[in-house]
Amino acid sequence: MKTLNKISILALTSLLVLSSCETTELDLSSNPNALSPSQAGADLFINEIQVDFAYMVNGLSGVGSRLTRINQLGGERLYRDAYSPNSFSGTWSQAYQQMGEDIRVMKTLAAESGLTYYIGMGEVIQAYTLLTLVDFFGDIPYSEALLGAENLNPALDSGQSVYNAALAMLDSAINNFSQGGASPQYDMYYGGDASGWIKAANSIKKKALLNLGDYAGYNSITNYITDSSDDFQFQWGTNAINPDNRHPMYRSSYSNTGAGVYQSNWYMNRMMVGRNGMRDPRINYIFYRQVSATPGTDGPVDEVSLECSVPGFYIEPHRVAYGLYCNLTEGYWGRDHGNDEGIPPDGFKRTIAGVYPAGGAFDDSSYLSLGLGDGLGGLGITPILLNSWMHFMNAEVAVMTGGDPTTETLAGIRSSMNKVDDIAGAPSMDAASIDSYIANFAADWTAASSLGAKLELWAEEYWIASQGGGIENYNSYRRNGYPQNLQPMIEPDPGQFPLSMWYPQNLAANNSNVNQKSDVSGRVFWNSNGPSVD
Amino acid sequence: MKSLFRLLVVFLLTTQLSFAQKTVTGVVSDPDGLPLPGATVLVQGTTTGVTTDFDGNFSINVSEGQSLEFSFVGYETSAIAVGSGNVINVSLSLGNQLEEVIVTSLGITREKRALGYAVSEVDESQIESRASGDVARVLSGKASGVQVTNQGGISGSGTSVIIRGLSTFSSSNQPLFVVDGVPFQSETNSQGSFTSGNNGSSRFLDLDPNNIESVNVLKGLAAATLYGSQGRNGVILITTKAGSTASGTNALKNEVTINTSYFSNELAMKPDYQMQYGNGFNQNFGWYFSNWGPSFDEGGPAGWGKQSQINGAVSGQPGFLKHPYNSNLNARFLSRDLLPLLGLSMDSLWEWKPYDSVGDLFQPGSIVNTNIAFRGQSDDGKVSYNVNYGNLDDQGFTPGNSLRRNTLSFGGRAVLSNKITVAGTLNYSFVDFKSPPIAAAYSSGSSDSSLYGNVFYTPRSVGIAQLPYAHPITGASIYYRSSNGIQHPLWTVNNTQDAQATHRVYGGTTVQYDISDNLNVVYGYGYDVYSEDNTSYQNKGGVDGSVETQSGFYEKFNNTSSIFNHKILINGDYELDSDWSMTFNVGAESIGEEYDRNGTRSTGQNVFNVLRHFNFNNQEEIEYYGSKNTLGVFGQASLDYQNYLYITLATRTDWVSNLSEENRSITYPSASIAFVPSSILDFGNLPVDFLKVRASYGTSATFPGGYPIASTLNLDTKSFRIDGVDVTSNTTGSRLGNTALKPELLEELEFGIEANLFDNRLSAEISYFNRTTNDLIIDQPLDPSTGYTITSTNIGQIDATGWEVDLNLNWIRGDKFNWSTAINYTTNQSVVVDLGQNTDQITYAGFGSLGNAAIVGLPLTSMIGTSVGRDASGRPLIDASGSYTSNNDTNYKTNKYALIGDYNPDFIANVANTISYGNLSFGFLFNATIGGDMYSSYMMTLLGRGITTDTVDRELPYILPGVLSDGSVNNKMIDNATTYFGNLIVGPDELRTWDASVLRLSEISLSYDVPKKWLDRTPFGAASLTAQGFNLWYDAYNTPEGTNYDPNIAGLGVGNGGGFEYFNGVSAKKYGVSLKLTF
Repeated sequence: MKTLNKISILALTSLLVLSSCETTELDLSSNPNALSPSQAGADLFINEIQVDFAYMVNGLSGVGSRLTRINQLGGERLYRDAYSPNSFSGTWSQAYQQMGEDIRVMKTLAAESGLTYYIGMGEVIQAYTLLTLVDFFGDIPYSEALLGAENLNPALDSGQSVYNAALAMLDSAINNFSQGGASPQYDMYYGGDASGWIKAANSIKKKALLNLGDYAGYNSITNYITDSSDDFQFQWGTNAINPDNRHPMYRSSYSNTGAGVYQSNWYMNRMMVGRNGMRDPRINYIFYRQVSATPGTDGPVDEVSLECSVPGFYIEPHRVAYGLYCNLTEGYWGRDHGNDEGIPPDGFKRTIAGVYPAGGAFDDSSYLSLGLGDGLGGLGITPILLNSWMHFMNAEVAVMTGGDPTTETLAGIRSSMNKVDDIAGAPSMDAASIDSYIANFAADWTAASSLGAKLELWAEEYWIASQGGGIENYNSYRRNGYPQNLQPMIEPDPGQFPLSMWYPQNLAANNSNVNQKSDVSGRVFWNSNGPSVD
Repeated sequence: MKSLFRLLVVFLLTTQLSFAQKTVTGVVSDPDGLPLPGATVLVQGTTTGVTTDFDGNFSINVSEGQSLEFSFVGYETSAIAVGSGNVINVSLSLGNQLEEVIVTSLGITREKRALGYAVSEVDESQIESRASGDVARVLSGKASGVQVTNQGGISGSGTSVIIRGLSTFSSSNQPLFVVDGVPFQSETNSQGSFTSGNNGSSRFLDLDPNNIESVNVLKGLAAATLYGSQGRNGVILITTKAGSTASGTNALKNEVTINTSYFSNELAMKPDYQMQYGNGFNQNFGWYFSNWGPSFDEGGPAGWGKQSQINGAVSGQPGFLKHPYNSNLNARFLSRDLLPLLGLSMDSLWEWKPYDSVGDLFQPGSIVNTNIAFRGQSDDGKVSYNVNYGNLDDQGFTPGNSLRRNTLSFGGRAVLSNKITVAGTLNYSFVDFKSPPIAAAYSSGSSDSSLYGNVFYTPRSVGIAQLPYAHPITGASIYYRSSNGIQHPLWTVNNTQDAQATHRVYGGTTVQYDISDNLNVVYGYGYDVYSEDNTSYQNKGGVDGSVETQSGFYEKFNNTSSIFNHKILINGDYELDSDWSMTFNVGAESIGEEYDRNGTRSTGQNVFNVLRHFNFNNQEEIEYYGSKNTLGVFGQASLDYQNYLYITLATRTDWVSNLSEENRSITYPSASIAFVPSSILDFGNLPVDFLKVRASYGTSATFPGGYPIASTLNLDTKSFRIDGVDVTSNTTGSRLGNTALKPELLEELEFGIEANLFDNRLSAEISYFNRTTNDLIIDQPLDPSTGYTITSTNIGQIDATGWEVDLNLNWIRGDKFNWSTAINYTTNQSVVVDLGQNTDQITYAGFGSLGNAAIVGLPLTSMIGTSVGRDASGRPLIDASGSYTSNNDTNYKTNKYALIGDYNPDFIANVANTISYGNLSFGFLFNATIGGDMYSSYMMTLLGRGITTDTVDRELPYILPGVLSDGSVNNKMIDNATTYFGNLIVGPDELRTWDASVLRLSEISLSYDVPKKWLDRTPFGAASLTAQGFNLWYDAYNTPEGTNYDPNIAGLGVGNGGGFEYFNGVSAKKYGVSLKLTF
């Protein structure tokens, strides 16, 4: 009996041990919660790359446009704190870990399948990204970047060498687009038209050569964006949830709790004042007013919603001297450059982004409180390089090479008018008013006594044509210093206007070859002799 | 099958067996003649034994000539030969208190004097009948070296337990819970992160504290070596009443115990709201978030008489405003014709007076807690059992918060006649936890719905209870603010919920075979499986959070988590010669862990308040699977020389499944020595009764979690949408898989001294430890230009040191009057020694620029954030508007002021007093947690919004201390709102950080044992009644007085972060009565 018992116990024990086999397996290191890199597809990569590119351009456009008063810079009174190292960490990840690495892997996969079109797209996107990162940060990692474990601390390459590499990459892209390879299912920029991409690549080359001061090189490129139909831009959608594909400017203006951002008083005022007494007809497209009058000007004082509308409210003398501060008439209710005050309950009162380019509402003087879903629902565009901008750049090159900027400036204005007019879902602009505006501009232009005064007008129009952008404006402002009469910072002593940005926190903190800058006064390589700007 | 059947028969029949022996009865008492209940009476040389009943009586079958051994913890064991008589009364003499037997790792029992490391014990009386159903919170303050942080006063919310400070920041620092010898899952599965509402219980909530017999805390590595890597953060060794039966250590005769309690559960942290000023800014009225508006007095510079909105000019009635809902009317909020549906009209008014919104919302809850235990054994003591049922119904003071728990446990043990002992426990629990969402909140609104975030700063002139919360047609949230920018708290209560319903089964079986008197082999099987059903929802029409949240969501997922554990252990016990004896244990263990999460998240609600997936437009999968296996072999040998010198050597090797083959194993030894000089030295006239010195060296390892060496590729099926079609995309994984990753090695040196002095009136235990974490696993953030943003790697080192002191003082030891005091004191600090070449600082919890950072040379518990801008000599720089400038550089190397705090307290001390007189007993537990910082969204908002009594003095200008940019002393006058709002809320993080020192009356109790003679005619053997209170008083004396701030809050959830609070919790106080009956 005892033996029997022992055998039973032994059997019982073995049974339990055998059933425990699943607890003794030791090769469980692969992650079942994601794909493995070997399961990647070029088509799926090119989708993500294109979307990420749009977000990255939109993000840096926001930085450029706020510094140049196209949009309102809020939150900080000192330029060195306007953008912190942390505020660029997301962009840096997007540029390298997401787009950069995705393009690198995608190109390998595409090369195996002869997908030259895909490679071209990757090259254009990468080249634009590299140029823009140099424009914002100066020297950046390139030759040692994207090596994974082989190099965890990529050294910085000079901005010049990155520019050279990007220009070569654009040539390679043009060559790839000329191969006749198949386009991907989703070409979110040119819908499968290789010639559009080639024009975009050439236009990017031109704007880079302009930064470099290589006017001959600039002028030698002729197959670029010479018609708005070839504009390099990204089209957003109207789906709010999962995925959210609405224009980011729309998201921040149209919500259930009112607008989350302010519009720039300087910019709105520029359009209200217009030319030779004529208001800019684009104003009803770019802005939407939720109220018909602004407290303190043509509306009753409203301390609750606009504190500075109260008579006797303290305004710093330098702002009073500039002449534009606090509020504009007619419900154009924005904020001044650098205003960092708290947020009153004005979300359904302040001016919000209009139909162009954010895909919001056309201002038909209905003065409604708009929110989620109103207007075009976010069906807007993010411009990357527009035909109008090329005209403005051409005008600058004309000046730099001793020519007359008039023709190109007027062409730029007209192109911009047509661009704004062409946005779907808004009443079309009266052709006569476009002509009239251009005529009035021409009158001001003719009256301008000096080249400087003309360039001020040129730059202001460039700025108005650039709503939704900002990267080229930040470059242009540093390059030539126009417009010179922008609204000053609220803080009388705001420190140096950022001539380049702090290195992103995730670069400076994690890369032993990179030290954070001590300030934002360093100029990027092509801007070493740039004018002083504030 | 046959043997199983036999087993069952034996089990059932054992109680019927009897032997041809005589019955001896008697009473076991202490030297004063008081009976000793629960003393063990054992027939020497056998395993036959009984324990005495409540009156010290025993009855045992024994043959003449055999000896009976009488033993009781704390008393000298005595053996008496059985003669011809049938009655043996024994008086046991007081033994040395430290010669107790305690349970160490893997259930191995040892004399405490033989241990070379620190072990804290907490007994039943310190755990049972408490208001909290959470064993970790009950343990708070009762053992040195243990730091317990509540996530807040939400009943059922998570709890963080840290023993001896942090030793890593890449893995959990929470200790291992072992219940009845089986590893017990104690993790906290939050629903979302701290920004989206980290509701979720810590799974030790599945234990009923009333079912716990004792808790031993193994603090050091040497103590926990045999538990392997899992024991690296210390071990909380819990013996349940079922488990104590199963282990045979504390079997009693048949007995039923009923323990029932009722407590009131109230908000402890209600601020002192000021009664002088209402909603507005700069003494002007407005429907703002802030409370810097006019006075509730009519006259004076700030009086409402000057306000056209209030003085009757607008409303027609002085002292009244127009109702906010008709001054806010717009198409998006509420149209005029809907007002009657809310009982309002265009003439409705709103009285200008202070309202008690917080008092109206947070009503006292109640806790009803009942536990019934049956236990007993056969007459020969060979078969014993325990059945325990517990029920907890805890209604929180937060509306929508409740915790219900049912627990059922069985334990049994049978000594078979064939040298086999079988024992087992089986536990089932069901825990149902519900709470409104409590996401991180800032000064206005929150990252997602947050009840607390939207309540506490309600302006004084706004009454939550008086304002309808739902749009009469859409059901959407409506509230007083004109852009409807705040979610009405009552809307949150009525339209949102986070719930976790958890079924859990755990327990184990052991089979022991005695090979000889000196050698046995034990096989153990442990299992712990829980199924946690999580439900979160919010109806459409909310205000906080993303568009997606506002569209309504419904999320349902299940976490099934299991641990299976097999263990085989050979135990030996040999006398080597007359001086030396040795015990050894050799074993092997396999642990399989599996975690499977599955569910669906739906967004875009169609019909309001219908909470089924079909009613939502979008569905997304919720999925995660993880499994990890660990194999371990271990051995331990203990040598005992003449009962005064003890040496223990142990080692363990583990293999783990989620690392590469060459790096998956690690061996870690330990050694300890205990020396009892009082056994061999004569201390002469010194009042030394007992003295022991000990030293140990222990090691352990930290294995990474998840899949750290795998490289992945992401797939997103909803990357974008073009023409109504979702676009699918690939993107490369951000984690660089590191196949060279290996486990962290922890080493610890510990020294201790234990002494009993002054006729055992004072006992003291002091420990010092120094622990080093080598090859620290760091989730190293990478420069994204490498192509990756993160990798797990072994660089760096952390050193932790600390002291633990336990003192027990018996001031008065009388027949009727007794007074004793127990004090414990803990201090420890973990310092980052090395982070590798590439990194100066790594933020491991919180946001990138505001959180806990590891910085070389600084404590691991450091907090970084933006700081006040300073000039070269460190003076604060004031900007042109008169407010502090801000320095956004949060890198300590370039801005030392970025270090805004350290959340580790300087020390924690607990003082427990027990004073008894006859049947009355009075006790209290007082806690002092001194030092440590807290970044508080709660305090900054209450002050910044001008709510509490701290801000009532406000009609004069302020000048901030500091210098202007030209170096001159600041002379810019600013007003109250700019001072508080413009600096505390808008300014740098540094200003939102306070010293979190706190004094607390943790527990206070008065209990009465009903005299036995009163019970003679009742069926009850014992009865006691206790009145208790918890957290009835505290004072965080360095925080603003009017906020009544309680810093014991884990704002970042149960993780390694600390010192940050985003309105995630407010503390509770509880008081009530308990009744305990035994029959």
